[in-house]
Amino acid sequence: MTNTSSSPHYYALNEDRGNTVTWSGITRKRGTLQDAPPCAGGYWSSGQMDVVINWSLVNSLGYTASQKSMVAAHEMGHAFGLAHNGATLSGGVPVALMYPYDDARSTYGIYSPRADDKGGVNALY
Amino acid sequence: MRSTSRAAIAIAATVTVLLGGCAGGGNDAPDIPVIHIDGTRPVEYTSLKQLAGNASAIIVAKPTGEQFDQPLPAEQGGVPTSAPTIYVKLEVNRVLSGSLDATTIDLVSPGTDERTGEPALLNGGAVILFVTPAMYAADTPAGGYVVVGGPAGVFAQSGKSFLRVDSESPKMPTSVTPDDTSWPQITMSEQALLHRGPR
Repeated sequence: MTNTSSSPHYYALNEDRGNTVTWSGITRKRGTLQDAPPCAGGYWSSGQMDVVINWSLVNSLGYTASQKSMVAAHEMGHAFGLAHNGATLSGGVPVALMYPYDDARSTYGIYSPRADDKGGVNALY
Repeated sequence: MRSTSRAAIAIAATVTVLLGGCAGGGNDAPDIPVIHIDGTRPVEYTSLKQLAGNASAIIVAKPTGEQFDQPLPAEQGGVPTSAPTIYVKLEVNRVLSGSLDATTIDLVSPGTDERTGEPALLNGGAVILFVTPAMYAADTPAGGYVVVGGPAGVFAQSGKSFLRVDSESPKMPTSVTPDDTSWPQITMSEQALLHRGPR
Protein backbone atom coordinates (compact mmCIF):
# COMPACT_ATOMS: atom_id res chain seq x y z
CA MET A 1 0.00 0.00 0.00
CA THR A 2 1.06 3.57 -0.41
CA ASN A 3 0.57 6.62 1.72
CA THR A 4 -2.52 7.89 -0.01
CA SER A 5 -6.00 8.77 1.06
CA SER A 6 -8.65 7.09 -1.04
CA SER A 7 -11.71 8.76 0.46
CA PRO A 8 -12.64 11.13 3.27
CA HIS A 9 -13.24 8.10 5.48
CA TYR A 10 -10.46 5.68 4.73
CA TYR A 11 -6.70 6.07 4.77
CA ALA A 12 -4.12 3.42 3.89
CA LEU A 13 -0.78 3.83 5.60
CA ASN A 14 2.51 2.06 6.01
CA GLU A 15 4.27 2.54 9.32
CA ASP A 16 7.56 1.07 10.48
CA ARG A 17 6.28 0.11 13.90
CA GLY A 18 8.53 -2.93 14.14
CA ASN A 19 7.90 -4.85 17.34
CA THR A 20 6.52 -1.82 19.20
CA VAL A 21 3.09 -3.12 18.29
CA THR A 22 1.77 -6.67 18.23
CA TRP A 23 0.19 -6.41 14.81
CA SER A 24 1.31 -6.75 11.22
CA GLY A 25 -1.76 -4.78 10.23
CA ILE A 26 -4.53 -2.93 12.00
CA THR A 27 -7.69 -0.92 11.40
CA ARG A 28 -8.08 1.97 13.78
CA LYS A 29 -9.98 5.15 14.24
CA ARG A 30 -7.78 7.86 12.85
CA GLY A 31 -5.38 9.25 15.42
CA THR A 32 -6.34 6.87 18.20
CA LEU A 33 -4.11 4.54 20.16
CA GLN A 34 -2.78 1.63 18.20
CA ASP A 35 -4.93 -1.10 19.67
CA ALA A 36 -8.03 0.79 20.71
CA PRO A 37 -11.08 -1.46 20.58
CA PRO A 38 -13.80 -0.70 18.05
CA CYS A 39 -16.98 1.07 19.02
CA ALA A 40 -20.23 -0.76 18.52
CA GLY A 41 -21.26 -0.83 14.88
CA GLY A 42 -17.75 -1.14 13.55
CA TYR A 43 -15.52 1.51 12.09
CA TRP A 44 -17.28 2.22 8.82
CA SER A 45 -19.89 4.51 10.29
CA SER A 46 -17.62 6.04 12.92
CA GLY A 47 -15.78 8.51 10.71
CA GLN A 48 -12.20 8.54 9.47
CA MET A 49 -10.15 5.44 9.89
CA ASP A 50 -6.69 4.12 9.11
CA VAL A 51 -5.82 0.74 7.68
CA VAL A 52 -2.16 0.38 8.57
CA ILE A 53 0.45 -2.12 7.53
CA ASN A 54 3.45 -2.56 9.84
CA TRP A 55 5.88 -2.31 6.97
CA SER A 56 9.18 -2.97 8.74
CA LEU A 57 7.73 -6.03 10.47
CA VAL A 58 6.29 -7.68 7.38
CA ASN A 59 9.53 -7.01 5.52
CA SER A 60 11.63 -8.35 8.39
CA LEU A 61 9.53 -11.51 8.32
CA GLY A 62 9.92 -11.81 4.54
CA TYR A 63 6.25 -11.47 3.61
CA THR A 64 5.51 -11.87 -0.09
CA ALA A 65 3.32 -9.38 -1.95
CA SER A 66 0.43 -11.83 -1.59
CA GLN A 67 0.91 -12.02 2.16
CA LYS A 68 0.98 -8.24 2.43
CA SER A 69 -2.23 -8.08 0.43
CA MET A 70 -3.69 -10.69 2.76
CA VAL A 71 -2.92 -8.47 5.75
CA ALA A 72 -4.61 -5.52 4.05
CA ALA A 73 -7.64 -7.64 3.13
CA HIS A 74 -7.96 -8.84 6.73
CA GLU A 75 -7.90 -5.26 7.92
CA MET A 76 -10.55 -4.25 5.42
CA GLY A 77 -12.68 -6.94 7.04
CA HIS A 78 -12.31 -5.06 10.31
CA ALA A 79 -13.14 -1.84 8.47
CA PHE A 80 -16.42 -3.44 7.43
CA GLY A 81 -17.07 -4.29 11.07
CA LEU A 82 -15.99 -7.92 11.24
CA ALA A 83 -14.36 -9.33 14.36
CA HIS A 84 -11.78 -12.08 14.51
CA ASN A 85 -12.88 -15.65 13.97
CA GLY A 86 -10.50 -18.21 15.47
CA ALA A 87 -12.44 -21.22 14.23
CA THR A 88 -10.60 -23.86 12.24
CA LEU A 89 -11.54 -26.95 10.30
CA SER A 90 -9.93 -30.30 11.01
CA GLY A 91 -6.19 -30.01 10.53
CA GLY A 92 -6.14 -26.42 11.72
CA VAL A 93 -7.33 -24.79 8.50
CA PRO A 94 -8.80 -21.36 9.31
CA VAL A 95 -12.39 -20.95 8.16
CA ALA A 96 -12.06 -17.23 7.53
CA LEU A 97 -9.82 -14.43 6.39
CA MET A 98 -10.65 -12.97 9.80
CA TYR A 99 -8.59 -15.65 11.55
CA PRO A 100 -6.32 -13.64 13.85
CA TYR A 101 -2.89 -14.97 12.76
CA ASP A 102 -1.03 -14.54 9.50
CA ASP A 103 1.00 -17.74 9.79
CA ALA A 104 -1.95 -20.15 9.62
CA ARG A 105 -3.66 -18.17 6.89
CA SER A 106 -0.45 -18.20 4.87
CA THR A 107 0.10 -21.90 5.43
CA TYR A 108 -3.37 -22.73 4.12
CA GLY A 109 -3.60 -20.04 1.45
CA ILE A 110 -6.39 -18.05 3.06
CA TYR A 111 -5.54 -14.86 1.19
CA SER A 112 -9.04 -13.66 0.29
CA PRO A 113 -12.51 -13.58 1.89
CA ARG A 114 -14.14 -16.93 2.56
CA ALA A 115 -17.82 -17.77 2.88
CA ASP A 116 -17.81 -16.90 6.57
CA ASP A 117 -16.36 -13.45 5.89
CA LYS A 118 -18.84 -12.75 3.10
CA GLY A 119 -21.69 -13.96 5.26
CA GLY A 120 -20.58 -11.64 8.02
CA VAL A 121 -20.49 -8.59 5.79
CA ASN A 122 -23.83 -9.45 4.24
CA ALA A 123 -25.31 -9.77 7.71
CA LEU A 124 -24.03 -6.34 8.68
CA TYR A 125 -25.11 -4.41 5.60
CA MET B 1 -19.93 -16.66 11.87
CA ARG B 2 -18.27 -18.63 14.61
CA SER B 3 -18.67 -22.27 15.39
CA THR B 4 -16.40 -23.00 18.34
CA SER B 5 -16.30 -22.24 22.04
CA ARG B 6 -14.32 -19.13 21.17
CA ALA B 7 -17.58 -17.67 20.11
CA ALA B 8 -18.58 -17.40 23.74
CA ILE B 9 -15.33 -15.65 24.58
CA ALA B 10 -15.71 -13.26 21.68
CA ILE B 11 -19.31 -12.51 22.57
CA ALA B 12 -18.37 -11.92 26.19
CA ALA B 13 -15.58 -9.56 25.13
CA THR B 14 -17.96 -7.72 22.82
CA VAL B 15 -20.55 -7.39 25.54
CA THR B 16 -17.86 -6.08 27.86
CA VAL B 17 -16.90 -3.43 25.31
CA LEU B 18 -20.51 -2.48 24.69
CA LEU B 19 -21.33 -2.22 28.37
CA GLY B 20 -18.16 -0.30 29.13
CA GLY B 21 -18.37 1.97 26.14
CA CYS B 22 -15.36 2.87 24.08
CA ALA B 23 -13.53 4.30 27.05
CA GLY B 24 -13.76 0.97 28.87
CA GLY B 25 -15.24 0.39 32.26
CA GLY B 26 -14.09 -0.96 35.59
CA ASN B 27 -15.50 -4.05 37.26
CA ASP B 28 -14.79 -6.48 40.06
CA ALA B 29 -13.03 -9.07 37.91
CA PRO B 30 -9.76 -10.62 39.13
CA ASP B 31 -6.68 -8.50 38.58
CA ILE B 32 -5.88 -10.05 35.21
CA PRO B 33 -5.44 -7.64 32.30
CA VAL B 34 -7.92 -8.03 29.44
CA ILE B 35 -6.04 -7.17 26.27
CA HIS B 36 -7.79 -7.44 22.95
CA ILE B 37 -5.81 -7.11 19.72
CA ASP B 38 -7.95 -6.07 16.77
CA GLY B 39 -5.16 -6.19 14.24
CA THR B 40 -3.79 -9.31 12.66
CA ARG B 41 -0.76 -10.84 14.30
CA PRO B 42 2.06 -12.49 12.38
CA VAL B 43 2.49 -15.58 14.53
CA GLU B 44 0.41 -17.61 16.93
CA TYR B 45 2.66 -18.51 19.84
CA THR B 46 2.08 -22.01 21.13
CA SER B 47 4.82 -22.60 23.74
CA LEU B 48 7.08 -20.89 26.24
CA LYS B 49 10.07 -22.08 24.22
CA GLN B 50 8.75 -20.33 21.13
CA LEU B 51 8.36 -17.08 23.07
CA ALA B 52 11.85 -17.46 24.53
CA GLY B 53 13.30 -17.76 21.03
CA ASN B 54 12.43 -14.12 20.44
CA ALA B 55 13.17 -12.86 23.97
CA SER B 56 16.26 -11.52 25.69
CA ALA B 57 14.92 -12.21 29.17
CA ILE B 58 12.03 -13.70 31.10
CA ILE B 59 11.27 -11.54 34.12
CA VAL B 60 8.93 -11.03 37.02
CA ALA B 61 7.97 -7.37 37.19
CA LYS B 62 5.42 -5.07 38.78
CA PRO B 63 3.78 -2.00 37.25
CA THR B 64 4.65 1.33 38.86
CA GLY B 65 1.71 3.35 37.59
CA GLU B 66 3.94 5.59 35.45
CA GLN B 67 3.55 6.04 31.71
CA PHE B 68 4.74 8.24 28.85
CA ASP B 69 4.15 8.59 25.13
CA GLN B 70 6.64 8.57 22.26
CA PRO B 71 5.53 9.80 18.83
CA LEU B 72 6.26 7.58 15.85
CA PRO B 73 9.21 9.30 14.13
CA ALA B 74 8.59 10.67 10.64
CA GLU B 75 11.40 8.49 9.27
CA GLN B 76 9.41 5.48 10.44
CA GLY B 77 6.31 6.62 8.56
CA GLY B 78 4.87 8.70 11.35
CA VAL B 79 2.32 11.33 10.33
CA PRO B 80 0.53 13.83 12.57
CA THR B 81 -2.35 11.43 13.09
CA SER B 82 -0.15 8.42 13.83
CA ALA B 83 -0.81 6.92 17.22
CA PRO B 84 2.03 7.40 19.70
CA THR B 85 3.81 4.48 21.30
CA ILE B 86 2.69 4.14 24.90
CA TYR B 87 5.32 3.13 27.44
CA VAL B 88 4.73 2.01 31.01
CA LYS B 89 7.33 1.63 33.74
CA LEU B 90 7.79 -1.59 35.69
CA GLU B 91 10.01 -2.64 38.56
CA VAL B 92 11.99 -5.77 37.78
CA ASN B 93 11.69 -8.11 40.72
CA ARG B 94 13.42 -11.18 39.34
CA VAL B 95 15.03 -12.52 36.18
CA LEU B 96 13.91 -16.08 35.48
CA SER B 97 15.99 -16.63 32.35
CA GLY B 98 18.31 -14.58 30.18
CA SER B 99 19.88 -11.29 31.13
CA LEU B 100 18.46 -7.95 32.26
CA ASP B 101 20.41 -5.75 34.66
CA ALA B 102 18.03 -2.81 35.11
CA THR B 103 15.85 -2.59 38.20
CA THR B 104 13.22 -0.53 36.37
CA ILE B 105 12.34 -0.79 32.68
CA ASP B 106 10.35 1.21 30.16
CA LEU B 107 8.04 -1.23 28.44
CA VAL B 108 5.81 -0.65 25.44
CA SER B 109 2.31 -1.33 26.72
CA PRO B 110 1.01 -4.43 24.91
CA GLY B 111 -2.39 -2.84 24.29
CA THR B 112 -5.32 -1.35 26.12
CA ASP B 113 -6.63 -3.00 29.29
CA GLU B 114 -10.31 -3.24 28.44
CA ARG B 115 -11.29 -3.32 32.11
CA THR B 116 -10.03 0.19 32.69
CA GLY B 117 -9.35 1.77 29.30
CA GLU B 118 -5.79 2.40 30.49
CA PRO B 119 -2.62 1.11 28.87
CA ALA B 120 -2.14 -2.53 29.83
CA LEU B 121 0.42 -3.06 32.60
CA LEU B 122 0.20 0.55 33.77
CA ASN B 123 -1.22 -0.70 37.04
CA GLY B 124 -1.95 -4.02 38.65
CA GLY B 125 -0.11 -6.87 40.27
CA ALA B 126 3.04 -8.74 39.37
CA VAL B 127 3.44 -10.22 35.91
CA ILE B 128 5.81 -12.61 34.20
CA LEU B 129 6.99 -11.17 30.91
CA PHE B 130 9.02 -12.39 27.95
CA VAL B 131 10.81 -9.20 26.93
CA THR B 132 13.01 -8.10 24.05
CA PRO B 133 14.40 -4.71 23.02
CA ALA B 134 11.85 -2.43 21.36
CA MET B 135 12.75 -1.65 17.75
CA TYR B 136 11.22 0.06 14.75
CA ALA B 137 13.29 -2.06 12.39
CA ALA B 138 16.55 -4.02 12.43
CA ASP B 139 19.29 -2.03 14.15
CA THR B 140 16.80 0.78 14.83
CA PRO B 141 16.04 0.64 18.55
CA ALA B 142 12.97 2.47 19.81
CA GLY B 143 14.17 2.48 23.42
CA GLY B 144 13.04 0.26 26.23
CA TYR B 145 11.50 -3.15 25.82
CA VAL B 146 8.44 -4.86 24.40
CA VAL B 147 6.67 -8.06 25.37
CA VAL B 148 7.25 -10.83 22.85
CA GLY B 149 3.93 -11.65 21.21
CA GLY B 150 2.14 -8.82 23.00
CA PRO B 151 -0.41 -10.32 25.38
CA ALA B 152 0.85 -13.81 24.50
CA GLY B 153 4.01 -13.11 26.49
CA VAL B 154 2.20 -11.87 29.62
CA PHE B 155 1.22 -14.00 32.63
CA ALA B 156 -0.48 -12.18 35.50
CA GLN B 157 -0.24 -13.18 39.13
CA SER B 158 -3.24 -14.77 40.77
CA GLY B 159 -2.26 -16.20 44.14
CA LYS B 160 0.83 -18.35 43.76
CA SER B 161 0.30 -18.86 40.04
CA PHE B 162 0.62 -16.57 37.06
CA LEU B 163 -2.22 -16.97 34.59
CA ARG B 164 -2.22 -16.66 30.81
CA VAL B 165 -3.58 -13.28 29.77
CA ASP B 166 -4.09 -13.74 26.04
CA SER B 167 -7.50 -15.19 25.12
CA GLU B 168 -6.33 -15.62 21.53
CA SER B 169 -3.39 -17.89 22.37
CA PRO B 170 -5.26 -21.00 23.54
CA LYS B 171 -2.31 -23.32 22.98
CA MET B 172 -0.13 -21.51 25.51
CA PRO B 173 0.01 -22.82 29.10
CA THR B 174 -2.89 -21.55 31.18
CA SER B 175 -0.67 -20.92 34.19
CA VAL B 176 2.99 -20.87 35.20
CA THR B 177 4.87 -20.39 38.44
CA PRO B 178 8.27 -18.76 38.90
CA ASP B 179 9.76 -21.63 40.89
CA ASP B 180 8.03 -24.69 39.44
CA THR B 181 7.92 -23.99 35.71
CA SER B 182 10.87 -25.18 33.65
CA TRP B 183 11.81 -21.89 32.03
CA PRO B 184 13.34 -22.20 28.58
CA GLN B 185 16.87 -21.00 27.99
CA ILE B 186 17.34 -17.61 26.38
CA THR B 187 19.63 -18.05 23.39
CA MET B 188 19.98 -14.56 21.88
CA SER B 189 21.42 -11.37 23.35
CA GLU B 190 19.73 -7.99 23.12
CA GLN B 191 22.23 -6.92 20.44
CA ALA B 192 21.65 -10.04 18.39
CA LEU B 193 17.88 -9.60 18.56
CA LEU B 194 18.15 -5.96 17.54
CA HIS B 195 20.33 -6.88 14.59
CA ARG B 196 17.99 -9.66 13.47
CA GLY B 197 15.02 -7.30 13.30
CA PRO B 198 11.45 -7.32 14.58
CA ARG B 199 9.46 -10.53 14.98
